[in-house]
Amino acid sequence: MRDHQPITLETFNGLWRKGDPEDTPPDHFSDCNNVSFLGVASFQTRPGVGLHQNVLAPLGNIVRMYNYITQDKNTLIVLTYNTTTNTGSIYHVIDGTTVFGPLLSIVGMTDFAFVAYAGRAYISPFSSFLTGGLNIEKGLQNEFLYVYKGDGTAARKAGANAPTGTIAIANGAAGNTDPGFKLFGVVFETDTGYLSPPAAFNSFTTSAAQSVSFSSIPVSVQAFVTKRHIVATKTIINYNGNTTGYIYYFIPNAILNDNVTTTLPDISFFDIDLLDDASELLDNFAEIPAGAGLTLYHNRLILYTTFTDISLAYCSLPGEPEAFDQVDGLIVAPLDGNPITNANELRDIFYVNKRNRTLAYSDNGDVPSSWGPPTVIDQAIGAPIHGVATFIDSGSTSVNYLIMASYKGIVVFNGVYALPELSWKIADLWNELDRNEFRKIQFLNDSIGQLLYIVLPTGILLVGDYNNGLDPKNIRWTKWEFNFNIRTIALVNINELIIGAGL
Amino acid sequence: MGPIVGTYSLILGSYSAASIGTWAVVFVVDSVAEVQPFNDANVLAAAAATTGLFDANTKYIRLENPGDVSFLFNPSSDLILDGEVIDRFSLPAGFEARIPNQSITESFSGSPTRIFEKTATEYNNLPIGIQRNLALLYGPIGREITGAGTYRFNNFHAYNGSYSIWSLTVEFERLNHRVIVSDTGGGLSGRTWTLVDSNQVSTAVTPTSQTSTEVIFDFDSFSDGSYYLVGSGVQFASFQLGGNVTITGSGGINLGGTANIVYIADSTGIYTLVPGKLNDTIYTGLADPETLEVKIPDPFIKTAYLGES
Repeated sequence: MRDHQPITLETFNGLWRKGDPEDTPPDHFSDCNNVSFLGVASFQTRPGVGLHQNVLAPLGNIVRMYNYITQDKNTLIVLTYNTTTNTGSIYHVIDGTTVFGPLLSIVGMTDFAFVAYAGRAYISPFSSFLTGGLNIEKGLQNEFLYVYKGDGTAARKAGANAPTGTIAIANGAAGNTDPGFKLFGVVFETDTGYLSPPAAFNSFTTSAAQSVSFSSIPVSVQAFVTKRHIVATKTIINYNGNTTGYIYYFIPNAILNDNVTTTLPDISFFDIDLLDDASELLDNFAEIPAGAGLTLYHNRLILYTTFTDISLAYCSLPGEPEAFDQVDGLIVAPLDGNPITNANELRDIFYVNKRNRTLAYSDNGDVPSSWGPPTVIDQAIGAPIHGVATFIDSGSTSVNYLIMASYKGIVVFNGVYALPELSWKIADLWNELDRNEFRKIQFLNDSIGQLLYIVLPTGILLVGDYNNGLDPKNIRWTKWEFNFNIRTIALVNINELIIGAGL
Repeated sequence: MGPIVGTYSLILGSYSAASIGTWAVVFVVDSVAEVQPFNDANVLAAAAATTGLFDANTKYIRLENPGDVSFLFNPSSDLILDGEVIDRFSLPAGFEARIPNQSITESFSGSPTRIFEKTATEYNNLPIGIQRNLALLYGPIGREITGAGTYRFNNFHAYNGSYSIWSLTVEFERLNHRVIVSDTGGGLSGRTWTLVDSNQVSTAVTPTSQTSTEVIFDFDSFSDGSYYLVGSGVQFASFQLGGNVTITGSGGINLGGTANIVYIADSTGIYTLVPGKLNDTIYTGLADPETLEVKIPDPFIKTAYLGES
């Protein structure tokens, strides 16, 4: 001991898992568990967990959870999975004592995508499918996008069926129309504002100085249809027999504010009154196929990776999250056999990820099909299905940068990828993860507490404390284990961490 | 030494080698709420008249599965293992009830009911409609009964050989691990013990002390992994209610955590991280206790050059 030189440890900078353990710097841990960092240099035992539900039968086997901000509450939307029946069920957890649901139960739903829009929840069921030895995530076959209104009623398919039957038209009382041949149709409107494609077409030659009366107006069998609109073309000089080949407009005031009445008498309008174009509804999906991901871009709901088209993203009309044009409301990523796994907006650019690729699209003000071809940002770094960090309780991925859990590691993306990766100090730990299980990674960023939370495929939580700096050198990593397997996490009430435990 | 982390009660049969062939079926139900007392005398009298197996004056325990599949157990004569051995990585959540095959008389209306048997147990005369699902060694084997109709189970083999009755999860090296197994029914005499690691490698272990009611093990250290301490003998071969088996754990070092023995049927659920909270509160999936206060498992750090935390 005579030559012993004492070493004073003044700082503890977290886990180091890179190379030989003997190469671990003195101020780092060669291993650690269940510690968190205190101040800039100290550590302590991590905080404990308490029960989120105080009910007789709390939800069990949680597999996915999102924070769901309704118009007046900060709540959770939760997927549980019954292994015996292979059924996923979605619940709305209002608080510790109030749970709605199941809102939706689907056989084979092992995961779901979610976006909150105008207080409503848009839900897309998906699962993992083994393809060529690799798990890929895509929407369930023969399943659809669902909408939940946040009020405890069951979720229903987004969209609505188009009207059926044929509307009847006749001259009404004295009024005003431009005389001549016109086509008429009916549009359904749902309680979430979705407008169906026009249908139930019929033709009629209007007479001058007379209004138009409608009868046999179709009624929807879908109870969530709450309004019906009558649409019409302007006067057609030479009709070619193609009922959908003309531009339809909403007739002002030709609205039935129910789903019961079948007549609407004495509507007057001139061709010049027909301003609101309904033709863009003609190509809308009545039922939107399920995808593996949902996100928002320029007020459009984006749904990507359906069962049949793994490189395709459908884009709704701006402000109409259920109106997906089947013809030109889509973008197609290069068909390389890999599915689209993530998509996010950053500084007005729409970035699309595959597992190891990053592409960029830009809204040119025209239909989405004209946004391409994409700019290839990176041919090696992508992100898994839940691998882009969402910030505090916003559910949004974008502040001034994105943080992604790529195969390479945890990387910051601000238009380009910043290297070395944030997880450089724990590269060995990251590389030991099963890449085929990266779908289980979920990533949150508590930008207030300056903590990154990453659910690892092994059921533990990787925590990155960046109070000392969001860079590979100063971030402090630690692992948190519990007496349960962590499957999913969410931040509510700004940065309160909620943990979902599953089998 | 750290405190006792968890204490749990099981009801186990004695390990008599007699009457091989009587016991073999393990049922799993999904929820505690589905276990209810049942003593409807009229129903039981009708069942007794039909099957000759029920007593109208007995208070039974009913396990009711989804799909109206229910089973009646006589707690004074039917062996019931209340609870599931925890294995965070392989075992299903739920409750086990070991019952004599003669009691199974209810109809199956189509909803799958899971039957569990120990791995490597020979199958014997399973009725048509029972399908096998494999599970890990030393975990149960799951089988699903599907289809409609009335099934009677006969001629199941007994649980011969070793059977895991609890698991010990150890995350890292610790000192002074002590595990105590006690059975007030006196069923622990003559058992030999094997420690099985997560790679299914078995190592015979010798207790520090062993009586008919208590066995004490002191382990030196463990590496990362899950371990199963397995008792020998023909398990559940004879029906006799035993006493309570209590599993306790003690040990650990400062900064290095404690022996983490927690007996939980189903700890899945939704939790909230509570700043400043010094322990974890977890769901158990049990009726009593519904929740459990446990220590934060094994907090430690290991520095680079000291070689120990």
